[in-house]
Amino acid sequence: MSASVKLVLVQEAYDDILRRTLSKLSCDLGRLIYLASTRDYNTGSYHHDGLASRFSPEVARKALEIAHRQVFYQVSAYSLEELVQEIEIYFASSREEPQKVLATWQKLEPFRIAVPVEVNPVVARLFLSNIRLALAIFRFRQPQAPSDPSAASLHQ
Amino acid sequence: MMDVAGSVTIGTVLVFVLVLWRKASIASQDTSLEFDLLTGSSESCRQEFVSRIFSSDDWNFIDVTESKFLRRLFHRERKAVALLWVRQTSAGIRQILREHTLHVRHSENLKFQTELAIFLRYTQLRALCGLLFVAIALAGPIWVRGLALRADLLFQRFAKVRDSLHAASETQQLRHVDSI
Repeated sequence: MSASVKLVLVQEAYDDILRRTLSKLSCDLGRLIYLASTRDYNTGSYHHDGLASRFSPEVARKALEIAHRQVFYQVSAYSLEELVQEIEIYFASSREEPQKVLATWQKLEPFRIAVPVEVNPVVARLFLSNIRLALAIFRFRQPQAPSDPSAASLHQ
Repeated sequence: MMDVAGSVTIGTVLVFVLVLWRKASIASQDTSLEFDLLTGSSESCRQEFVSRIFSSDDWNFIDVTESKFLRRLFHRERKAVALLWVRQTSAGIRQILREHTLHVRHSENLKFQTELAIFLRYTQLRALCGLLFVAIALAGPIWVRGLALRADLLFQRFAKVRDSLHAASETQQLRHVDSI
C-alpha cells in the first residue's frame, strides 16, 4: 500500500470515528476520555473493533492516535472557565452521582491516562494542572455540606 | 564606614538571590519526574500554550472566588508549569547550539560574524531564561508574561536561523559535490 493511499484511508477512518462516535459525545473532555480508553495500557497502541473491521487495524490505530492528539491539544488550550464547564457537562452525562465522580477524580486522578504518549511535556503538565484546578473550582461551587470539614477549607 | 555598608548590602543581595534560587529549585523539583517521563517528544511548545501559561485570564477567574485555597493552588500549579517551560526552553537553546556546533565543525566557509551573532543570541536567551526562572519564583508567571512571550519569540527565531543556516550549508555542499 502506497503512503498516499494509506493517508487517504487514515483520513476516511478519522472522519468515520468523528461522525459515528465522537460527535455523539456531549463535550470535548468526554471525547478525550473516550479516545484514551481505546488505547491499550500496556502497549500504548489504539484499537477499535468497528473501525478496524471497516478499514484495517493499522489504519484504525493511526486514525485514533491522530484524533486523540487533536482532542488533547484542544482541551489543553481551554481556559479554566471553559474547562470547569466541560467538567460540569461530563459529570452530568455520567450515570453516577457527580459528587462521587468528583471525589474519585480528585483522589485517583484517572485523567492522567488521557495524556497521549508523544506530546510536549509542558502541554501535558499544563493539562494535568488545569484539570486539578478545574476540579477544585467545581468542588468549591458545590453546596457545602455542614459535616464536610475539607469542603470548608476551600471557602477560606 | 561606606565599605562596611557596601559589603552588608552586597551580602544581603547575595543571600536574597540564593534564597530565591533555592525557592525556584524546590518549586521545580516536583516537575522533574514528569519532565523525565514525558521527554522524548520532538514537538515544541506552541505559542498558544505559552500564552495560556502566562495569561492573567485564569487568575482573574480564580480571584473572583475569593478563596485563599484556590488562589494558593493556582499559584503553585501555574508556577510549576511555567518553570517547566523555562527549563524546556533553556534545554532547547542548549540543544540548538550543540547541533549547530557539530554542524559547523565540518563547514569549510565559516563566517566569524555569523557565528558571533549566533553566540550572542544564545547568551542573551540563556540570560533571559535565568531571569525568568528567578522572576517566576519570586512573582509568579502572570507578572512576567511579556518577558516570557519575548523569550519564546526569540527562541523560535533562534531555531529558524539555525535551520536556514543548515539548509544553506547543505545546498552549498551539494553544489560542491556536483562540481566534482
